[in-house]
Amino acid sequence: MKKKILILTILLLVSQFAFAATVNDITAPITKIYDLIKGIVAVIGIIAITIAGAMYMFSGANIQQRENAKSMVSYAIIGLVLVWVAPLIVGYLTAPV
Amino acid sequence: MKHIIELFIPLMMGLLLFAPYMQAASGSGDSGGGSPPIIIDFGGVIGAVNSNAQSTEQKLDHTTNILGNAIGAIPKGIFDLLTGSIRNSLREFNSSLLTLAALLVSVNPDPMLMFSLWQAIITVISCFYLLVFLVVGFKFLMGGHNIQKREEAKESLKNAVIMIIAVQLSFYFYQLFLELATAITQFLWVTGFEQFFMSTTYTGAGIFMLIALSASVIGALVTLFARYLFLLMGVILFPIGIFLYLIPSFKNWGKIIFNFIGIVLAMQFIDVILLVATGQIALALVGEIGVEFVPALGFILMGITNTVILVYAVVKSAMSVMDNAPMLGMAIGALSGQVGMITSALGKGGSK
Repeated sequence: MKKKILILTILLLVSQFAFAATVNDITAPITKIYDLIKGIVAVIGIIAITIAGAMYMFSGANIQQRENAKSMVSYAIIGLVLVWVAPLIVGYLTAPV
Repeated sequence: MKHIIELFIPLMMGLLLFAPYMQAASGSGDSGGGSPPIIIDFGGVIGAVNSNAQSTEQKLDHTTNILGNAIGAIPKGIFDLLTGSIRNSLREFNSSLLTLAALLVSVNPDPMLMFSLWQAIITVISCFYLLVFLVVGFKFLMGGHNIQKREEAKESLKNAVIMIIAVQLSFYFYQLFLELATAITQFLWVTGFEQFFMSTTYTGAGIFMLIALSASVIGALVTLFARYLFLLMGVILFPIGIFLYLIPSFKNWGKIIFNFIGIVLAMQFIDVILLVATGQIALALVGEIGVEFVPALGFILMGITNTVILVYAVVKSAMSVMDNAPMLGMAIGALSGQVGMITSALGKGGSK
């Protein structure tokens, strides 16, 4: 019984801090993750484009490999744009009408 | 004194009876003529007295009978009064219960009651949109060389956009579903079972029948309240369900939420169909059974069906969660393992 009262008291005390959280408290860590991954994605994107460029250079007469390299570049650019423009897209889609 | 009065009254009566004779006797001496003597018919007097006594006796007997009957009728009267007042109270009680049941069956809750909570949930969900786009962008980046992965990336982008739009509009979709369900119910409402909810239907019902009706309606009301509660919860669960359904890893969780909301929404139709069926039976049966027994049976059936459906929805959701739990458990385990490793590494670094 004492244990239950203690747990209840702790929960009541903690709940004040829980309710004190704002939207920014939730978005702040997500924004941090986003900023971190954005940087990583940029690096990966550059690497992917470089590899695609190399594939294109060395494709020679192989048309399929050339097309593959082209699509790799285009998809890498789309991916980069998506990641970098994500806040704008989200803002646009969630904006009040 | 009493003896004196008892002696005095006959003496006075004697004097009054013989006074005319005495007067006549004294007057004859004076004038020699006078009025004729009065003759009293004692037989007639006695007969009149007897008949009067008989009539008094008859009246007394009659009064005794009336009093006897009245005293005999008192317990019955008290019993009738008590049962009447109990029946009236039960009828009034049932009337309020039936009005509430009619409201809960025919009308769905107003989702606007939960609008502020829905906004809070949407705010929390919208925080994760960025991460969703991160993942989609990453898929595009990594899947450039493979046709299958490219298609997956396209599908993910489509899902992400649909998810954001659907989650943002989830409240209005949910409101639409509820209004549709209410409209269909209102359409079915006028097909013969609305008499169940009228207190006038149960005017001639006995106490036991009224008590049975109260119990059955209370049972049905409990399940209807639960349905109301789950439908209100649905306002919050629906956007979460959409969000989870459109993320491939959490698709099953989204399905669970959709199933749950679907079952709770379908309860209303099942209730109405049950009431329509029992209404038809009640109309077909003539007399007390049709008028009083069938509605009570209908409410009992409704309560049992609702309970079974609710339990099924909860158990099915729980079972589905248990089926999906290993994945979640693995994810949590991996995450906690990583956190543990990072913590231990930090601890080692700190100690150095």
